[in-house]
Amino acid sequence: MGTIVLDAVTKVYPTAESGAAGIVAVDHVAMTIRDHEIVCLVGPSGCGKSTVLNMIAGFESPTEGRITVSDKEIRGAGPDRMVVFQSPALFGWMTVRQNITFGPRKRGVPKSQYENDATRFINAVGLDDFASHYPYQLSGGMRQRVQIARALMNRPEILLMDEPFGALDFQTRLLMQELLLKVWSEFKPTILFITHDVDEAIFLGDRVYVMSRRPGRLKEQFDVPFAKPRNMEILTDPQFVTLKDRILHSIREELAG
Amino acid sequence: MIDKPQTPRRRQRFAADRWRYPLISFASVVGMICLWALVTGLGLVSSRVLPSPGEVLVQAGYLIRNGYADNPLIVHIGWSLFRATSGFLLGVALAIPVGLLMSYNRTIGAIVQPIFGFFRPIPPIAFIPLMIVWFGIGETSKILLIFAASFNYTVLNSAAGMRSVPEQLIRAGTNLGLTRWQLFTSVMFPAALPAILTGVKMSAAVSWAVLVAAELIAAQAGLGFIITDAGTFFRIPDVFIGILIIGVIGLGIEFLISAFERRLLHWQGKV
Amino acid sequence: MDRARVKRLSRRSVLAGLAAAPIGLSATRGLTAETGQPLPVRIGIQPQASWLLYVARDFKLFEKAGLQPTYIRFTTGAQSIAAVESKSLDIASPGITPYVAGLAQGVDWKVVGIDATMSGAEGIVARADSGITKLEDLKGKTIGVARGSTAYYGLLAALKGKGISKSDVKLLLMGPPEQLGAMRNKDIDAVAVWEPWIQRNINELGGRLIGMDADFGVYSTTGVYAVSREYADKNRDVIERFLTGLVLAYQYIQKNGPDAAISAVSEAMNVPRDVIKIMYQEAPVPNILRWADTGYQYSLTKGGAYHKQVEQMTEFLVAEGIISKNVDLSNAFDVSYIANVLRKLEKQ
Repeated sequence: MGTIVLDAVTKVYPTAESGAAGIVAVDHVAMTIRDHEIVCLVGPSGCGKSTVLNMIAGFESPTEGRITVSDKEIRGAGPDRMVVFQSPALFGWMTVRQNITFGPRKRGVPKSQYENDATRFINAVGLDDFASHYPYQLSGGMRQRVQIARALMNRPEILLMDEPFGALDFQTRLLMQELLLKVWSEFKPTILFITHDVDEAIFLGDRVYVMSRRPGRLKEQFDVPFAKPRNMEILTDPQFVTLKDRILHSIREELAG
Repeated sequence: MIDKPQTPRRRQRFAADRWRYPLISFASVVGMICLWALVTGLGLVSSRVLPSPGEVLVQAGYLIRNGYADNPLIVHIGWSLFRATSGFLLGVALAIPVGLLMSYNRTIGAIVQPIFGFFRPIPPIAFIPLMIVWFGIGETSKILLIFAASFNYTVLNSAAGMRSVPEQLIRAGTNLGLTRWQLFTSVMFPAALPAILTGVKMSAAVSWAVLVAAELIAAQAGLGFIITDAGTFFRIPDVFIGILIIGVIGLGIEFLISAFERRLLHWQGKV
Repeated sequence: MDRARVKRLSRRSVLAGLAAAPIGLSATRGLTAETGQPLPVRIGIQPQASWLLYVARDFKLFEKAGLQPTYIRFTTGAQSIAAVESKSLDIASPGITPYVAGLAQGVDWKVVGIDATMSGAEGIVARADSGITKLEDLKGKTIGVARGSTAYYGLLAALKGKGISKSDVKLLLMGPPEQLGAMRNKDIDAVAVWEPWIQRNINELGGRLIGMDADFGVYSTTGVYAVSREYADKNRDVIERFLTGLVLAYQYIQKNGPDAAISAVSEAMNVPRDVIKIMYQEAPVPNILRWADTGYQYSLTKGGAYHKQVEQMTEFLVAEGIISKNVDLSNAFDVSYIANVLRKLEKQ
């Protein structure tokens, strides 16, 4: 149901000078993300990872190529493909619960229908005691949890996560990764996860794509040989380390100099 | 759970802090008055140029009992408040939608920008003769002058507020399936509200300040009337009193709007 | 002088001219003989019909009298009060009302001369379609007037003369520019104002002149030359040389006619020449040679006609609450300076 297919997707940004070729951010990317899969996308800074995500989300459209979800070409953004941004993008004037229920409320879903869901998701991300708090009262990690809950409230087929834990400290990040896996095991959305952290990519992903530097092309693809559910133990497993080594080398080749 | 919200300060220090700054401000005002009394008491300045606090107080008492120019003081204050409030409210009511729209829609923005930018640096006083010719000497011309000044500030700030709504927030809204109208009212407007309220505060202050200029247009009563009339007859204590009343009321207005702002924007936390 | 010119000049001007003519040239030499070092002086100048001052300025007659004048422009009399008080001005030329207002507020200054006798150039103009043709018709009507001005006094004094009190009319307080607008919009039925606004109300709006202050017996509508008492006592020379300059200006006008004065005032007030010309006819230059003469309408002598008129006006201002306390005008006018100057003149 939630299969994402990118077919020779290219994104070119026009430059200021007229007649110039423009900046190719994404160059003929073809990828398939299967239903319920967690696919991680890594690569050097500025390689176009976020652009790919934005196009799948519908915030931008490809210059060439097609993107389909469940065999239907996507048009614009929608709650079927919920995005979790790196900066929490919470609505500061609303409480945690109001933020989370914002989507369904605005779409006219009756309160009786979403009220239970809200409680469930607030519980799932461990924010029961903070449901009536405002974003300014929460730490960075908590705000990201609200974002995740807000995304999940809309029962999306697809979760698009753009370096969601990048701004968090190491310990919080570990907890959030475990939380994500727990949530995934319960609701099984298809996830595209962008990160700089190779450990994170392997820990979370079923597959890892490595993107080249600009113009961004899919360079390599790695399968992650660990079954789910996973725990912290795998981080020191020799297979993990080997895979990490290969991925790091692949990325290193793309870095300038 | 590792992450926790910000810890509140220890109770004792918190309670003392609440009163510390208001106390300092109060002491500052008292200090100014003492300095004023000292300067006039020592005769450093001619009492005709700077009346002593005592003289001003006595004259204030006189005005309160006898009024000014055949009208009780409260009537003067009432007229000024009426004009300033009307101009202020009208200005803000029109400026918020126009300002938001200006940023939201680039065509509209391009149309009105040069018009506003042109009028902005021109002081309201310059328009008085035109106002009289076009709108006569009644309340319309006065309120319109104040309206123009009030509108100016809030429209700028509203437009800026709209422009500074983070892209991510708008994308989050679109992502959630909001219609364009819902996006505008439920995401952009609340996000722009802090900037809008800053504009509103400035508009309130400027409306009150432009009052004196507006009352040059054949006002029969008002605080600006008192100041202008007293100035014509070199009644310096009366000029002082007019200015003091205007200042005190202005302070009160600012206090009220700030309190209102704090309630409305409580979600900003400690800014 | 030929007949046509005699007809054009007012009677007073003719008499003054005849009085001055024989003195003419020799006086100039006599008055300026003792100059020595020119004395610096700061003179306030306003856009009003100060004929003598403007002629003296333009023809350097103060320099001839032994002064080194600096002219400071003021738009209102109130400003010159503050300037004198702060000792940044020596000789001010306010209207009589700001002078009295300053006195009431404790400014210790006195009048040493007058200029711009406007009683014939200030009065009441009614709207063409208001149905007002005489003073009595003003009862129950709305009149635009500047609060506390000489026109205000003139209006109420005139109405009082016809048994009409302030409560029988509706006064809307506003300055001359606003009055024009209000007349045009028919917000008011009449105005009490001074030249050149009278001409403007008549020419631009077709208003009807009901009468001038002088017609109603009010002669206090003047400009004055005021100096702080302290300065005047210490600088008799300066004051006398200043008044000498004015006398020279007066003689100049007698000899050459008022054209120079009219041009200067027209430029200062930014009003067309032909309007100022009418204003000159309505409010000619005061006869400075008679300022010490108790019988003269605008004499500066204590107890004279002018002094009495100003006292009446002041009582009125106190009654209106415009001036807070009763001022003592007994020493407001100091005729000694001009008396001295005229005495020296006679010795020639």
